Amino acid sequence: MSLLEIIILIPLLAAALIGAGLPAKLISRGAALLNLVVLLVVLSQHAAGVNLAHSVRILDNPSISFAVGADGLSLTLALLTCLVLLAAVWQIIDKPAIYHVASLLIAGGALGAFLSTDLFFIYGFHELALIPTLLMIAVHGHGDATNRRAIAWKITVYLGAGSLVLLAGLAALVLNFSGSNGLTFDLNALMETAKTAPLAADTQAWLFFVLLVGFGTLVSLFPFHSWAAPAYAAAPTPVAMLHSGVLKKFGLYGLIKIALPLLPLGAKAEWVQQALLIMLVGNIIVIGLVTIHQNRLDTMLGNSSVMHMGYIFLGIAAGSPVALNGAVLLMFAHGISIALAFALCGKMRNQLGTLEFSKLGGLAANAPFLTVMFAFATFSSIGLPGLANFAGEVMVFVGAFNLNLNAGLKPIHWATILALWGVVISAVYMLRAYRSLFFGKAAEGHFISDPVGSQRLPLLLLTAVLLVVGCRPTLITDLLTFAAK
Amino acid sequence: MNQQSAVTLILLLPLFAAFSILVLKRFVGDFVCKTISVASAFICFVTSCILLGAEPVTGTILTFIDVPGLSADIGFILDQQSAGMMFIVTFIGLLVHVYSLGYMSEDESQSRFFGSLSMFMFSMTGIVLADNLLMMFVFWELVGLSSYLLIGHWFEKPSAAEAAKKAFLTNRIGDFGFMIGILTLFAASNGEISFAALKESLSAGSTSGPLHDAPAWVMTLAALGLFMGAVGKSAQVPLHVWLPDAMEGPTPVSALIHAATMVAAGVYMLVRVSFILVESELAMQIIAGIGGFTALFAALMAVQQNDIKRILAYSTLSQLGYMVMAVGLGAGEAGMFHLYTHAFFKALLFLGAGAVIYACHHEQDIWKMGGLRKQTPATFLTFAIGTLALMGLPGMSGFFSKEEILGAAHHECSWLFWSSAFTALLTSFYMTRCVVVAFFGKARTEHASHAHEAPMIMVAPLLLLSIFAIFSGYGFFSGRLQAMVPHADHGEGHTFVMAVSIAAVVIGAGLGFFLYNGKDKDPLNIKLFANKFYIDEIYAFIVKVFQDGLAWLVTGLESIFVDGLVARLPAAIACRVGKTARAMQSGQLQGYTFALGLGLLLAIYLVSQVLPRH
Repeated sequence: MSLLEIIILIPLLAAALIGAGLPAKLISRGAALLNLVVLLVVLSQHAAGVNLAHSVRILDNPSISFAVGADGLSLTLALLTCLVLLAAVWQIIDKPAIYHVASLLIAGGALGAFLSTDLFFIYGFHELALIPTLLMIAVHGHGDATNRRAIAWKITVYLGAGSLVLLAGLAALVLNFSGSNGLTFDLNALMETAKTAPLAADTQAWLFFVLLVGFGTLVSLFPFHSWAAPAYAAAPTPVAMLHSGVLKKFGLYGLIKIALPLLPLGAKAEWVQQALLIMLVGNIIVIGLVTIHQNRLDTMLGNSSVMHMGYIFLGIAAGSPVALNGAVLLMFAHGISIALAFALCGKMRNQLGTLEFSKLGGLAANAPFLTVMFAFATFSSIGLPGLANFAGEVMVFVGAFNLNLNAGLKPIHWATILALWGVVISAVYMLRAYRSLFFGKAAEGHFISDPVGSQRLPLLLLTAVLLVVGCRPTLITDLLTFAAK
Repeated sequence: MNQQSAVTLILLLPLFAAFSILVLKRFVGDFVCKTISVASAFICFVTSCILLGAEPVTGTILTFIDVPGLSADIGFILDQQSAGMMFIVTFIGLLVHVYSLGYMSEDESQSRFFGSLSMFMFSMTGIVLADNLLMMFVFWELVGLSSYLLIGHWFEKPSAAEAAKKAFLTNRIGDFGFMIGILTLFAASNGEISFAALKESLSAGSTSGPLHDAPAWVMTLAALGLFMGAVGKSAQVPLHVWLPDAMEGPTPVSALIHAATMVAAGVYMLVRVSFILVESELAMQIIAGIGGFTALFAALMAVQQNDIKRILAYSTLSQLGYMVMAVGLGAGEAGMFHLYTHAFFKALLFLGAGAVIYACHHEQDIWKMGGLRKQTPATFLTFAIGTLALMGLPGMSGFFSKEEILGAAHHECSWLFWSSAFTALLTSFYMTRCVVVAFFGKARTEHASHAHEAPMIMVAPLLLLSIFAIFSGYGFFSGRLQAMVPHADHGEGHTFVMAVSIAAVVIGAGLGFFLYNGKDKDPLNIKLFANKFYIDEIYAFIVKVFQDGLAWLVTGLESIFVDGLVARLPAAIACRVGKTARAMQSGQLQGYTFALGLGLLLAIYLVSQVLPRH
């Protein structure tokens, strides 16, 4: 049994133990901590060059295996998952055990999806993680029952439809790249075939587009995004942290890990490029403006999370090593910073009863700790150097703008310029929110106090990660191996 | 101690101070935090004095980004320009730290204030030392953060909270351009970001470097992009609106950040990259034009301000305009020279204004002062010295540096020369107005009549800065800070330039004195100037229409089209299909029988069509 399998199994096992009646808080925190430790061991082994891949054959034809393997990309996202899981379960107080179970299942599913190397399991684990997400929104979400059920339906239909498109695309990959020895779901085998017998450029373009729509819907790519903001606003805090921070990255992971290597020409096809550029500018500019218009913290954060996906898509569109490194770094950074923001948002909702900007103000006077933590989340998400997002954004911009500029400004250059303007837009809404929540005169009737004791730890953990990765982005990028072509 | 470790110390010590204050301030008293901050400023000052005049050297402190296609270091370049600037930053920084010990002694959040000051020292040091564009951008942003924190120090005050936000966002617009400039240069030079490498690829010896081959529009885009960054940070028109509002911050902050050092970073950066700017004639013209226009425009606004800090703020805008113009005219050394002298006398003026405000119990309106000359003689003396230096009285530091800039303008472009000369006249006019109204005549309010001199810890920095305000223009002084020693090398034009500039000072000061001496209210009443040409109102309108209005519109369209077409339409179709299907399952036997019959008929018909006929 490989350590990677253990990492996937720990949260699932812990969820089962809690379901069997063991103390939820203790088990979930213990499991999350243990998982992080095991992952650090895995990282050190990976650095030492140990091959951790392991495979258990399940079906012969079509060939399906429970296969795990690790490259820098999967490990980066696994690290993200473990960190966010730890923070998410740590900040649960006075909630039923189902909160812990759901968090562990989501994280276990995400880890399974990131660490598997068999398409069947990559897809299956992601679906496994989605189900508790949807149920938690429907049953324990915020807002009145009709509303949250409507939202749960909306996200179910959207993500279900997206998954269906994705399934079709993945099936096409399996059919096309299985080679002569019968159908296989093994990603490595598919890649071998893609190298030796690539598809025609036209077919690649169509297939890539199908995968883009399928994966894109899961990442709230414009215009398939409108499930995201209401879902995050309604989701219970740990679910919002884990979905926006971790699970949503699955679509991006799939594009980089599966679609780009299998269909290299598809990503470069001009019409696919232009469609992607239009969609990602939609994410950045259209949703950026929509975010400015929000008057509540939770929907604003939800929309901002949709908007920031645009930058990562820009990295994928550019496709150069710099840009892809930046995109992955940004996936990690966004995951941590949005999880921190939603954790804070949850704390504020519990104590204040409202998240409307016009009803709040001056929180800094009574809650200096939350003020500082929120500042870290704010400034990281608007790309301040020294915090994690900055280096990722810069690398994406450099990678995208560097493409043959002397020959004139191409669509990707214009998209980069618009994306740069997006950085101004996100500063506008984040600083407006920060100012109206924390600065100015304290609003009457809404009191807040700082978390005490160990309740500070999850916030401090995420902040520390933002700072460390922000100052040393090479810690993440050294794991990655996007080579120059 | 070798240079590498000295530079690392200067860079990292303030960061360490800021971080330890952030962590410790819950556990220890204000005294410890203040000590940490002031001690770090002192050590940095001493170290930068040692480095002054050292041999030029470059080095790497830390690898920041290292991926295939992009590697960026946190490094340093220690040459005459950065060593001189470092001296200014640490010297004025130290004085402001000391002064703040007195000025902020009643404040409830002193630890936070000193922590933010240390954070600023760290970021500013980074800009000064930066050896590549990305590192400069990193610290450029961090300086923006420190400025945000310090302007918003009194965050309960809505005006301060708004001003902090405005400053950060306006700078972000400038940084949008800065980033485009960096990306353009990176692309055009095949992946270079360090100043040395860029210079190399443009140097006269190599005629086929990547930058030589770049089309002209690329160089113009790069130059204008970099300039846009400076427009934001150095508050040039049209992004000047944040600086006057930034006066909501504590006065020592205004002196250090919003007069002497941070706002000058734009000019510093332009001089660093001037070898790129000169590649584009168009960019140089735009830079000179914007600088000259800002100098004049801001001086006009300063003429009708009543808040002592705002007068100085507009004056800062105007002087920064001079420096930017000098860069655009190809006289970057003159710009740097003015930057140095201005740093001393403007910091002096701001700290003097702080002493006045302190003396008058937080009154900032000069018309509510008056007669302070007698109550606060030391403040008056030093403020007067600062004023004379700013006006450019012959013999004072400002005279020499302004002279250099006017000379360059005279050499290059006659209309810029005349507008600069007129700006000089306006400068003497509004500064004389300020001094006459605040310090001469009779006290106009209770507070002014009971004004008292500030404590020694605040007055001492004033006295020290006065010495520099007087003497920093002379060669024995400025020569240590930079390669260029003031020289009279503009040929026969030089006497003419000097005559014009002296005439401007005398006329401006004379007009100011006669118009305002003994007056209790402003004899001039120019609404347009007092209301700052209504720029703030225009911008508020633009933001309302083009940002908030557009956001409203887009949100509406998004919910109609995206939510409507992508989600509701398929949902509606599904619903309709479902309803129809449900209607079929009515539970009525007749209906089922009828449908069964209909289906049977249809089936028979279809089968009869498909089956081969006999």
